[in-house]
Amino acid sequence: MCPQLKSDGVTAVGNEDCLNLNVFSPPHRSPLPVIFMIHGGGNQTNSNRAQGPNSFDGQYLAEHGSAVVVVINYRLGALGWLAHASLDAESANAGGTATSGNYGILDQIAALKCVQRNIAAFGGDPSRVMITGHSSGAQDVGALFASPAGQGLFASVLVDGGGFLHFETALADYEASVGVNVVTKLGCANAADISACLRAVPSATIVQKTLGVSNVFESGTYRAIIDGVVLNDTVLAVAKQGAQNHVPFIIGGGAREAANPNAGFALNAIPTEADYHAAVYQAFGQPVSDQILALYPSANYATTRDAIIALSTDYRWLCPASQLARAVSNSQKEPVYRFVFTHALSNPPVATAQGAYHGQELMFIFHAFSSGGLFGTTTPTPDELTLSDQMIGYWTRFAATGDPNGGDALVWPVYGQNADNRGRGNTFFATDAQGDDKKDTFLQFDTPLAEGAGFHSEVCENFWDVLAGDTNNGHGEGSIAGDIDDDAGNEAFVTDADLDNDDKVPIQPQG
Amino acid sequence: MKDLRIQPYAWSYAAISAAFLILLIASPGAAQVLAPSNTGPSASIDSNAVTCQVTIDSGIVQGTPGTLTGESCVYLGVPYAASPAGAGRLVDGSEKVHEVWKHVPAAKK
Repeated sequence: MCPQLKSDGVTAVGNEDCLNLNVFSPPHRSPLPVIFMIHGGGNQTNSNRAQGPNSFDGQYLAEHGSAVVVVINYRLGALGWLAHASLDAESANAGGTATSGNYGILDQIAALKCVQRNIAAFGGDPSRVMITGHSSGAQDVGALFASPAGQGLFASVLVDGGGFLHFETALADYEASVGVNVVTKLGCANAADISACLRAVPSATIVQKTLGVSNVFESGTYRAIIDGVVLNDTVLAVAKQGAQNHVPFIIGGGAREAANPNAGFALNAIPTEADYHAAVYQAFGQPVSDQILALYPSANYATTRDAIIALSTDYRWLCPASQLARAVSNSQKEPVYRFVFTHALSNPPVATAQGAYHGQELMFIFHAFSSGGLFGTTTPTPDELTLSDQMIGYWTRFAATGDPNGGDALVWPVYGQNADNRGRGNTFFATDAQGDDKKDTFLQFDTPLAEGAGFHSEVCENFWDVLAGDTNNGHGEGSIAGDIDDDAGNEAFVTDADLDNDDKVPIQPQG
Repeated sequence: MKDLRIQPYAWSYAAISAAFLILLIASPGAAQVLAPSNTGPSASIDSNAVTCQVTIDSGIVQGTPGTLTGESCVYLGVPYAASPAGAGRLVDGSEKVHEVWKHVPAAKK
C-alpha cells in the first residue's frame, strides 16, 4: 500500500513503491468489459488490498458479472496531492507543465493507459472500460470524467458515494493554503531548495505530519486541483460547459451517507444542541447557518446526530449528485442514470440503525459480506444476496454496453426521462402523462428495487443548489446570492488553510 | 546428433531473461513478472484458468487461481508505473514519468 497512517492515526505504514494494480480475470471466450475501481479513503488512506467492509476482492464481481475487474493503488496524502510553487518552478525548468499536485490523478491516468495497452492479455476489452470509484475515489472519477487527460481512456463512468464535485480548488489557492501548510509542517519552508527538502523527508514523517481534513462538512484536503492541465474547472462547471468526456454516466450513493463513524464524529456521539449549532456555525458561518438550522432543526429528528447526518448527506452528497446529474444530462447526448442506495443492513442491529451509511453498498457490489462491516459481521439475508447480484448485474451491463438495463431487471430510467416514455434524451424537466414532473429520476437499491424521482429534490433545489450555484467559483469558497451578505458568505466557508484535523472536526464526541 | 549448444539468439534471450528475472513477491498472492517480454503493446490473450499466466508489454505475469471457484485468475500487485520514491517523489505527471511501464527496472513492492 502507499504510505499512510493506520487507523490509530499515529502509525505510518506503506511503501512509496506502491503503484500497482490487481486484476481479477474470469473465464472468457471473447473480450470482456472492464471495471476499473479507484478506492476511497479521503485520498489519504486505504489500498487495493483492503479487507473488511471495503474489501476490493473482485473475484465474485468478475465471475458473476463476466467482467475483468481492476483495482488500483495511487499516491495518497501529501505525496499524491501536494502542490507548491517550488514544484511548479521545478516542473517548468524540466520542460514540464509548470504545475504540481494531482499526482494521484496522474497515477490513475497512468494505470488507465496501462489497462489500454495490456488488459486484452487478461481477457478484457480496452474499448469497454468503465471507471468507478467510491468516496474520494468517486471524486477522482469525477475529475477523470472532466479531464482532457482522460479522453479515450474509458467508455463509461460510475460515481459512487462521491460528494462535493463542485468544490475543486484552483492551483494558486491550493498552493497558498495546503501547499504552504504542508511545506511548513515538514520543516522545508526556509530551505534553499524546497523541492529537494521535501524529497529528503521520510515518507512516514510526511504522512504523520500532514494528515488532511475529512469530515462531514468538508470535502477533504487531498483532492483534484484545477491546474489547467488535468482539470480546467470544477467538475460541475466542466459538465455545465459540456467539456467533459462524453460517455454514459451513472452517479449515486447512500441515502444516509454521513452516518459513518469515520466521517467526522463517533458512532455513539450524540452532540448537544449547543454543539450542533456550534458545528454548523463553524462550518458555514453567519447568516447561512441560521437558514441551515431552520431547515434541519434537531426537533425534527430522533437525535442531534440524525439532524447532522441529514444535513451533511444533503449538502455533501445528495444535492451535488443531482446537480451533476442534471448538468451532465443537459450537456451530452450519452445517457445519464442516478441511483440512491437506501437499504439498511438486516444485521447486526447497530448497522441496521445506521441506515444506508457511507460505503455500505460496496459490500453488495463486491459481495463482501463475509468480511464484516464497519459495525461487525453481517449475515446477509436471501433478499440481500439477491440485491447484491442485482447490483452486480446493473454494474456489469453498464460496463459492457453503457446501459445498465437488460434482461428482466427492473428498468433503470434514464435521468430526467418521463417514466412513461423512456428513451435516450436529455429533457430534464420531462413530464409524465398527468403532466407531473419526472425530473431527477433514479433507481432505488433496496429490497426490493424501486424506481423513484425527486429524492430530496425540494431542499436541494430551493436551498443547496442555490448555495452551490453561487459558490461555484472554483476557489472552494462560497457566497450565497440574493439577500445574503456575500462577504459574510465567503468568509464563512471552510477552506483547507488549516491541516490540523483535530480542530476541524465539527463535533466533539460526547462521552 | 542433436546440437545442444544454445543458439546465439536463444542464448541472448535466455541471458537477458535471466538478467531481468523479476520476482514480484511482496506478499502472498502477489503477481510475479517473470521476465521482460518481446511482445508488443497489443499482447495476445493467453491466459487461462489453469496456468494464470499472461504476457503483457513488460513481461510475463504469473497470477494464481481464484479462491471462489478456481475458474478465475487473480493477479495482485502488477506494477503499472515506475516507483515514485526518491527522485520520482512529487514529480509532475509528464509522459516521461508515467510512461515507464516498459522500463520498470526491478519490479518490487
